[in-house]
Amino acid sequence: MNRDQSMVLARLHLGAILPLLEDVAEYDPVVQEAISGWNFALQFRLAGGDPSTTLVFKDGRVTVQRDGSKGFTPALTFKDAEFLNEVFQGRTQKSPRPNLAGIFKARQLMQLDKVLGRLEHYLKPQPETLADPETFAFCVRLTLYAVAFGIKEVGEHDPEVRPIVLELPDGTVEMRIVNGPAAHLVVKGGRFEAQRGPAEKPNAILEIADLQTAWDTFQGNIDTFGAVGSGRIRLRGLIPLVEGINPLMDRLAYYLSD
Amino acid sequence: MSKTEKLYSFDKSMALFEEAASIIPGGIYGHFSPTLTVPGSFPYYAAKAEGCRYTDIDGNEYIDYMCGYGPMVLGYRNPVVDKAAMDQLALADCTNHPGEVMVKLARRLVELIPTADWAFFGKNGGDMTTYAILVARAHTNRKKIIRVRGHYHGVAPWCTALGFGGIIPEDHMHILMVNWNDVDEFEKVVRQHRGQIAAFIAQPYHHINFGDQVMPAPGYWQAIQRICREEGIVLILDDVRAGFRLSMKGSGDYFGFEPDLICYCKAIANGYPISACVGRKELMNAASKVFFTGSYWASQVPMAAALATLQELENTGAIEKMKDMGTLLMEGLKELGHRYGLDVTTSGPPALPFMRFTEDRDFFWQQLFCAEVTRRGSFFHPHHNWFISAAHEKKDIEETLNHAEAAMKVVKEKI
Repeated sequence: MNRDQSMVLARLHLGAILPLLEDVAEYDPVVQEAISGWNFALQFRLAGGDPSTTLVFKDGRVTVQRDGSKGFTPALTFKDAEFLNEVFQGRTQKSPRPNLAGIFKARQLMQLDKVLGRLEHYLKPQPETLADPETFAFCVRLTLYAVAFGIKEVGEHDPEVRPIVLELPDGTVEMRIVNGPAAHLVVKGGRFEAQRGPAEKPNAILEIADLQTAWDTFQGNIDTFGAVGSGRIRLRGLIPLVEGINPLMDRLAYYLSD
Repeated sequence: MSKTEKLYSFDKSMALFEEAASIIPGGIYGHFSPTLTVPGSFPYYAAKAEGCRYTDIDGNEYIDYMCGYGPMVLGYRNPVVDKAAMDQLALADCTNHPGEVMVKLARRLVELIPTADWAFFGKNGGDMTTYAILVARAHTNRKKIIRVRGHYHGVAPWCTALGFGGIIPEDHMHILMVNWNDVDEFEKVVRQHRGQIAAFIAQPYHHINFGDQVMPAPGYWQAIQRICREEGIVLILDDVRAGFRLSMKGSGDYFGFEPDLICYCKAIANGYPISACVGRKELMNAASKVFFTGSYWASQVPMAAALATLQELENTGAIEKMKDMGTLLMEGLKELGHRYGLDVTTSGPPALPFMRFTEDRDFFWQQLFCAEVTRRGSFFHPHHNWFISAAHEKKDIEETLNHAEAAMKVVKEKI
């Protein structure tokens, strides 16, 4: 992975994966217990400040701010993208450097590995995790959001796919699972806004027939063209918008394949 | 329920597709892929065809407005064309050598098309557009190609969009894109790359998917030709889709300009596999230096079929008839739209028409409409221009308009 690609992966970790802690904190008792009583913000940032993501812990919940935070905020600074990726992929024992405010939160930060580890628990689940239908449904939902957020990061920052993105028509594409969750992407002038939930007025719809098909699709275990032909995946509306996003999903899979 | 209101189902198509998807990538690939229509609402496999109609493997019969995506121009199983092909087959087809029929066909094209001094043959339209690019580069000793955004020239890497499997940015290193009908932009790009541009390639008019067809603005082609001549740029007309549906002399003549190279396929042989590139004598030397060939490129049966097709197109006044039938269809659809309060936009020449609902920018209504028409017995593609053949008769168009009326009622109810 070259330097540009490492930076894209770092953006994916901060922009597509870390924000899912909002959902995990709502669902997972382990995280809920760990963060109970936490009432502070914690910024994750690359040296220089871009990219950065701030997790705001309050009353047992987590919310995410993408534009950083101001003031005396505890922060973890990663010296470069490669190091950030190693930390998120669990490939190093070293830890990012906390700032002065972060040092005051040392006790909580010691628990952070456990909290972040729950992200991997649901995003790269073991078979026994998936055996529980409710947890399986949650894993699918979490992955759907990761895909939506990830498309934004890859689409906006990966030089390899920028020529594709610049040809995309403006519009909103909704990705939804029948009787399940939805996410949507607003595309405008080569920029993306990714949101959980259905779109108010989508220009294109990618509808997956069920959770299992969605999971197989996200894991790359399905011939998507075959699935579209068989009706397990339905495309409607402004198809070029979905077609244009498809290679971004492939690219996302490339980055997250490790 | 009347016969025309019977809705088709596609159980056998879907079942066969399931099997296919386990042993063929994508089940059905390329432009035949059901992913490009509305999967589940369209047939996937054809069983038989005759005239302007075909029957799918579920036994559903359709009046065909895609004509095999263009090749069928005189009707499926046209007896004149098929007899010429079978007569040739009885003599020779794919041998060690081309046959006399190759020279006859080249002579025929050179006589027919005003700017043609020579002809070269392949199998698919994409063979010829790529060949034309090579000829232009050989002739000019330049690398860069200008093409128009949205125009389809086949599946070679130089003309396939990034994002499709295996296409890399380097494939497009020497490809420059311009917008249709924008002479100023073309001139600017030529200025920026003066002395480096081998060719400009475009379709005769803007026949894109997911959009209205746009005819050339007055003076567009003449301005493009003037700039190309001044700058030593080879002007390539990709007439693969429209060739021999607008004019027997080719679309260059139809739109009043003189391309250096013209690519044909589709309608040239009524479904027999052959394509052709014709060119001006100035490029013949360069053309002879390009090594471009294939196992079946000298097959004699398709060449005999092409000769018969061209003759039959002339003998029967097919061009005029396709125009008349296309006009009848488009006028009928507009009238239906008016009757049901659905504003309809038609575009393109009548022989290659397209229709969509004016307010329906995202094609949701269009997808519903075309699926409903198809389920009643007329095959309308929701996103691609349609094709009229000389086998379409007034009664076929009227039957289709009945299907369209029923479908418009459904659209009206559901939107």
